Amino acid sequence: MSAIDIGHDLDINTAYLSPAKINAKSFAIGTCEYINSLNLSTMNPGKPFRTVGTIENGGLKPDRTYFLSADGSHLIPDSGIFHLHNSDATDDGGLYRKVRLANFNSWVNFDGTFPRAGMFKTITQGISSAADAQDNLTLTTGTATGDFIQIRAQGGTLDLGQQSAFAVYGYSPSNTKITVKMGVGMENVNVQEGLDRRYGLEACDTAGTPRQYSIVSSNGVGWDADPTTEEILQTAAKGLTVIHNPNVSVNLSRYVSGLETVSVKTTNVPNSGTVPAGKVVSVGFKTNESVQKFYFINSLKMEGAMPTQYFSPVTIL
Amino acid sequence: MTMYSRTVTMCKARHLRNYISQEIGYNVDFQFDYDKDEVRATFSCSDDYADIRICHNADDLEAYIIRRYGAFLIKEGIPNPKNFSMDMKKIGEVLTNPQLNKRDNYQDEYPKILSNEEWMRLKADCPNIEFENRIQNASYKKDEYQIRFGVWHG
Repeated sequence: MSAIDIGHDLDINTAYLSPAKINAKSFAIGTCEYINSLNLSTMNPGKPFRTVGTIENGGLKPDRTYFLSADGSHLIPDSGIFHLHNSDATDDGGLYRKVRLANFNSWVNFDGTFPRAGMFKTITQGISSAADAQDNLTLTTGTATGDFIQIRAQGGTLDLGQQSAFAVYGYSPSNTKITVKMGVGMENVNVQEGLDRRYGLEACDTAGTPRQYSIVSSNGVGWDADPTTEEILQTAAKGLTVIHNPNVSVNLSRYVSGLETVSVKTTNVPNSGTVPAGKVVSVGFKTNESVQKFYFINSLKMEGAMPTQYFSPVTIL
Repeated sequence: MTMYSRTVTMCKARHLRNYISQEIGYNVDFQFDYDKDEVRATFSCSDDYADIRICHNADDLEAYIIRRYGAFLIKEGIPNPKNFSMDMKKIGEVLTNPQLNKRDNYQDEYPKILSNEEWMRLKADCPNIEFENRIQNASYKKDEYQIRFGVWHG
């Protein structure tokens, strides 16, 4: 076989078709027993095989796609199969612990699926508090105007040059005379900070007007807020997922009346840098009248990437 | 701050779900109704950013929506030929054209030469369609017709 037959599309004008050429470029389909009986050394590297039937043979399993290895010595299973990472065999994708270890130094996972007040550093004004309840972590403001509760995950960082996502499952029964700020790298709810890189959800009302969440983001140069149709006022917990695609968009994804709804914000999207320690995950809630307000957090999640050289990689043995 | 917004309804919700990224400066709220296979989308932009590269006005917004999602738009006075969308794909065999790789919109136009029979069938389904070029053949063979049509990256 010439290179043009193996590596390129067949051209009717330059390559006269023959059974050998067609076989070189087409799937060999057969039972595991049949494919296992073939003499691989006479075939072209990269040739695809598809197994049918019900009986395994010689390590091959039915309903799999295999490719002939570059050295022509063995068949490599295509990864497009359901595998559990529960054995070190190629067919299973390798052991799960190895997958975890291989990503040890590059993966951030904040798991607040079952949040507790003790997970966070708490900053308050007035008699505000973050308290463990049976169903949720309850953020309660004080009773004076401006009283706030701020919770922050301590330490850590996040690479804003890579995709990440933040999600909250919770709600507030108040949508007027409140300020709420949540997300990644967000400022405290009681202050306005500079243009530090961040993304998340915000809402502020002092006029008594019912509010919706806005998506906010800053790339360190500019900052802005994009209004969404997502109502703050809810009577039960609701999932809000904020997805950060560096330099492209910050998306708020959620369900509205059973319809999947995505708000896409494209301006001032962070695309580099890291989040300062202690600012990575936070939720702040403030009352803007002399009435106590509540925000209930059933779950909180964040996933993304570690900056290079934060941790050293692990060598997989 | 002047915000401009435009709400449109589009078809092929499941397909469109894969194409929600936007150009910088254009924000959007999508509402995917998979039962009706429709998407309600409210696009918005502003001409009041400090960075003039992301400032856009109402005309820019309309042009942007048509350029990026024109093939999906339904209602709003835009004709919806009865064999448009998926059926059109059957005429054009190109669904994953490599030319689309570096494009910034999700639709493209192709020229396609139809036989006389194919053209007559298309004309019956889409009475408003017009050919771009009539290709004369030898007298014993019927003329062919070149048309130009839009498909999306499939």
